[in-house]
Amino acid sequence: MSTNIEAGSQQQLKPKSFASTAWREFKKNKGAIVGLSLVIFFVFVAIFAPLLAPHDPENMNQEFRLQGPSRHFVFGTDEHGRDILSRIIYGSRISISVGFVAVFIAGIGGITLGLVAGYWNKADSFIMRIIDVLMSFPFLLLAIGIVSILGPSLVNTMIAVGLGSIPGYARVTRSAVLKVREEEFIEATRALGFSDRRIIMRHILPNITAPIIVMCTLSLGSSILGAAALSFLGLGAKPPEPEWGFMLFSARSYINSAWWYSLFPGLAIMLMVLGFNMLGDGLRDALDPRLQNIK
Amino acid sequence: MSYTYIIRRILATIPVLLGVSLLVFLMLHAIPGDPVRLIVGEFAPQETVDAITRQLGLDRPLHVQFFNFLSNAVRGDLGRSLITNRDITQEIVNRFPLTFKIAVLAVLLQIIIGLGLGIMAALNHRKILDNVAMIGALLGVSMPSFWLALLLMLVFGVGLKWLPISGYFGFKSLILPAVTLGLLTGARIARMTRSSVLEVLNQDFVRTARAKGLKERIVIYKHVLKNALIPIVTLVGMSFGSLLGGAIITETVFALPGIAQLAINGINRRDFPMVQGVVLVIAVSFTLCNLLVDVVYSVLDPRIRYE
Repeated sequence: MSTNIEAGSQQQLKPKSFASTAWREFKKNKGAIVGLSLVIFFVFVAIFAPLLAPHDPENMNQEFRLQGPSRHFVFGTDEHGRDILSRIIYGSRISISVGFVAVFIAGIGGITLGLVAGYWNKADSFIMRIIDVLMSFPFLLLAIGIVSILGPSLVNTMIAVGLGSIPGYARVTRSAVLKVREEEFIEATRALGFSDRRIIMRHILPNITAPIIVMCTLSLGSSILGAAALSFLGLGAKPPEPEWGFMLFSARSYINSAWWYSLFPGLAIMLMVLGFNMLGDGLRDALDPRLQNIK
Repeated sequence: MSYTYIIRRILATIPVLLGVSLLVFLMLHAIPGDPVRLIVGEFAPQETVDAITRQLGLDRPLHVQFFNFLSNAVRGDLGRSLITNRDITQEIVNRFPLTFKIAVLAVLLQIIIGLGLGIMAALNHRKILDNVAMIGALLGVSMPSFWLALLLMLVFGVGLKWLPISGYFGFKSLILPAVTLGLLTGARIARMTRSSVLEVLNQDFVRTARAKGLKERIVIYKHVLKNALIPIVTLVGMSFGSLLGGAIITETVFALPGIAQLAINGINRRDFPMVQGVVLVIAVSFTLCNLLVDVVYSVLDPRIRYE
């Protein structure tokens, strides 16, 4: 009997980890779950594209040119008679990889700059002036400038969108570092004589993961939008790649006759970005307890 | 209002503007390989290459080139187009009014939609109106602008035939581009307004105002909104600059002859001085806009001090 009571009270006292508290908050949030489901759905579609696509996405057939949605072509066909649904399914691979590669580039560059600027006062004003200059360019304009230097292609789009997002990442990281830097446990690590490298990697970085995770998730959405915009402007993916933005660019010419061509690829972009945005919002609410009361 | 703050803020803009022009200047030099060869093509005769090199001043040392670029730009001379040989400043001046008009219309729409939805959502916190408004705003921030443009074209151009979908035919042509930009930036403003209003609603002075028996309407208008809208001013002001960037998309979709179209055509034809000129003009407008916003902000909120 007594052991039972002891076991029970011990279970209650067991400290809950930050991740499990956050997960509980996250689960309560309907929007977050919808976002997560959308993201999982698109990742699933991207992985199993060859199994899911009813037709070959690059198979041209003038006989079926610009046909409306039917049982055979659920989302209709494009100007080369290709099945739009299959192209959207394959296009999810491009959009997801564009998003992740761009976020990876922006993350490496921006987080490093933000850590350095936030930690060393001497570097701070110099780095922040550069960031100020980069921030003077609207995001899309910065990306366009970079693409015009590198030359238009899908890979360069990823690089341009990634580089263009660096200033935002640096700012968020820096302000998070500035907050943590003043905490007592950082002072303690200094008193213990830890190296700057160790303090940054082992003590500051783990304490700013929450804002970084939120930022990365939300910027997956905006990166996908940015890359699609570049492709729409003819500065990104080139035919025959089934890139969603480029499909809409082609659809623009047939807007008078083929509404389905303009409708479905954009719907796919919106749902994917919506997924990342809802997931990001949910993570922000779950990871940042201060926001709870005003949610 | 603090004059020191305003003066320091204006002075702080100068290095940023210098940096912006340096970056735009370096664009041409960042192109891998010989930029002149890239512009005139691989098989152009040597004389053409030399002529273009001289025209761009690329035969002089880099710092001299930058100084010339800067002093010319300050005097309003952005050089000549490599393709049409027209004066770039003149081209931009001719096309700026169209882009500007769309941006102004979009800002008006954005304020109406953004503030309206945001305030309505906050005052009906966690009720149906709040949910509907926020789902709408969430869709707005997740939507590609060119897709919304295509949808509006499908409904109001192709379907109802109310508005033109391509080219410039007076005011009618400005409506759909302005609605596109206004709706999307309005969605962002709505989200910010809502959380800003909610934050103020939770503050002690609001509770005090209610506790001393003020009418709810007075509490909302005089205490809550007045404070909550200060940060929104910044957002609206800054969005004006990004609307100039967003114009790149709308001008392409609706085939409007604004400045953004100059940049896109410039990139496609490798007309780098043209791209440089447009990018510089947009970035400088954006920077000056942010400056203006910060100054207005410091007037509205006297607590703001430099650094």
